[in-house]
Amino acid sequence: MPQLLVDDAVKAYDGKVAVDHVSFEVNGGEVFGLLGPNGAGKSTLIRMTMDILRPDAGRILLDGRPSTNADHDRVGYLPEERGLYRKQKVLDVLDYFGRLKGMRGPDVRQKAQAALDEMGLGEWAKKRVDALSKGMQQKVQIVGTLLHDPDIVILDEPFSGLDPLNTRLVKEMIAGLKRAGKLVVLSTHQMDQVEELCDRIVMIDRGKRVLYGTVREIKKRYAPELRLASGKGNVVVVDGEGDFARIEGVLDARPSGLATALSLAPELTPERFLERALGAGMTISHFEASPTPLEAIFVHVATAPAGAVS
Amino acid sequence: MKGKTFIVARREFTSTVFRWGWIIGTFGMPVFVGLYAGLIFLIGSTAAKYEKPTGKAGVVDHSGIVRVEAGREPAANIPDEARGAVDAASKMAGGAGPAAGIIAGMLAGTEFIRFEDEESALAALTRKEIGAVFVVPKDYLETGKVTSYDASKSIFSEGKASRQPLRRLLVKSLTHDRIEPEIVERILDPTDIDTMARDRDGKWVKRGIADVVRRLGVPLGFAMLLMISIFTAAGTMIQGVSEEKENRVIEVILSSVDARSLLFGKLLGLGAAGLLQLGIWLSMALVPIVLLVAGVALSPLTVILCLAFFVLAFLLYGTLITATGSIGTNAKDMQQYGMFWGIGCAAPMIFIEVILRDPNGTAARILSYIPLTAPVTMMMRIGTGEAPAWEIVLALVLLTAAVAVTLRFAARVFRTALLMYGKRPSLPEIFRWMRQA
Repeated sequence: MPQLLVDDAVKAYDGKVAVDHVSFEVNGGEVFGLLGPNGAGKSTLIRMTMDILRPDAGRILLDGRPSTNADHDRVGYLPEERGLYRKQKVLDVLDYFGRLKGMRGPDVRQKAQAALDEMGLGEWAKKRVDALSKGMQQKVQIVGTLLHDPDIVILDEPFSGLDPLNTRLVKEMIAGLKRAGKLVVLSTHQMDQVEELCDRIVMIDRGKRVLYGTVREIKKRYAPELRLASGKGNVVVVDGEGDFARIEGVLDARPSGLATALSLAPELTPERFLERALGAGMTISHFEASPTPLEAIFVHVATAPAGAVS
Repeated sequence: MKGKTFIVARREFTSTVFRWGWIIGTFGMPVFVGLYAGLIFLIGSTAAKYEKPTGKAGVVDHSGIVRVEAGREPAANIPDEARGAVDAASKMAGGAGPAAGIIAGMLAGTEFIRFEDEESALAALTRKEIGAVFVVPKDYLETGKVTSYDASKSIFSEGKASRQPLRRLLVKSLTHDRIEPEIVERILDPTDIDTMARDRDGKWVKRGIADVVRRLGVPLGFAMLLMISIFTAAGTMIQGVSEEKENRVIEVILSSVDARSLLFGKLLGLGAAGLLQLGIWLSMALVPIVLLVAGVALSPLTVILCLAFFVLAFLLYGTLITATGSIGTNAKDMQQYGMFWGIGCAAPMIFIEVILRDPNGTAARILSYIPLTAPVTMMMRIGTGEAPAWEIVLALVLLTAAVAVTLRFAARVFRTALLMYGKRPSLPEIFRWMRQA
């Protein structure tokens, strides 16, 4: 039984369908990507998952049963835009959020203080929220999301406003949640983060599910289609001695870091390229057959006419 | 879920009462009133040193008609039933400068002193032995003319305050030995009306204006406070909700607590803050003084019933105003939408005369059964002492049911509206939200 099951969910606002017969399931110990362009219906799906909205049709089940008010306490939610009381002290806001999530007793503040210390924000606990930088506020929001140790964590754009150091901190935190067996739903537009963090994804476009599966499966499935659609072949990244651009079938060469990225003609596979380069007496110290990035699939699917992809 | 309602209520309460605006408003009001009274007293007592009323007026009579007798002539006929209120007012004003002088003067009347000529009278006026001089000319009987010399230009001068006593003095003088003194008294004060009205059991009982004022004091006070509290709290509420909506905290909150508990918790928290404010004002003796002065009767049952209607009305209007306000896309819109309901609350005030004249009439009854108008209407009817017990109970039951139903539907609108940004929903859409679970 999946921990979270969205089964044929439909939701319309004022006659306009926001979520159109969407199904997916997520289990504990999994980081699940919820993707889609702006206005695709992600927020509505998230709100239905959290029982803020009820679907017009279909079911949303937690552990095989419809969610109740008591399930609110099992969910930790990080909204896309910062949702903090700006004129209140950090610790007071966290105390309120923790208690709303069912935490009781005098140790709520102690736990919040400990979590802030861990995030490097210990000395800001008694400061007003609006005295904090955007990145600090994001970290406070993350503390608020996880303070009550939820089973289900829904993160909407968790990396926005974070510097690379804090981005790494949050990535480690997500990895930690996964190790602890928590169910993590990650909604983001940053495809490199999705590739790095998510086990499986669902992509919603115009209310409909357009992609669903493991990241590897999806990339495998869409790579040939995408190459055909763009009229281009593989991309390889090489470093070594020789003029790789002169090899037959290489359409374009441009620097990629210390190496060179080469666009190949559709008929030239990475293996054939290697054979030709070595055959021409060139030496290769680094070679990478660059697979189709998820971002390209996202753009391809999101820009396709409705119903063109399944 | 009850626990979460309490948590929301506690936060709303603490974040309201620890705001500077609230603290200044609550403690500043009595201090302000105190300072204001102190200032009036100071000015009054300073002025009083220079303008102490003498309570005396000189009369120079060239007509030979005026009969100045020992004793004073009162300024006005004060009905017995109003005497208590006037006494209390004069007690309160005691020592407060010219005001006290005028009130004391009105109550004490004027002592007239005969002078043979204008010179000696005006000399006495200059010496401030008397406050005014009236000269009655030879042809007074034909013309009715009297000349007045006043020590002060103030509109509250003794010369003006003595005119009514002078009138009495002249009537008495003109009728002396021609009409019996008892008849003269009746000419001067022909009516002291006792108003009779039917009570709840249909019996005729004495019902004076002062009596009505005394018994309506508490209910009308509650009605006024109710309107003030509803609008103050609704303003605070809408401000808070619009802030939560604008900075998106509402998404976090709604992922933790259902909309009904949130709405109810907010109302309880703000209601408690309102009652605390009331309590502080009461304990700072602001209200008791007002009640005492007005000579208002304090019946415990009336207070309890008014309090019950107060709390229910607060919840009903708070719910309606907040849910309607939440539809707005910004704080200004929200205030405007929410305040629409204020009309309902104030409506019975338009019918105040109808309700008080016939507390068990059709209009009063209908207004008592409509939950929106019931609170203020019932407060007024309870004040008249003629509302049957069963109607009070029925109104309370209907109002409680209305609160429960409103809370249920309002929570749905509240929940959906709070999650919508930038778009104003249509009326059919709002009705659809209400139907949705």
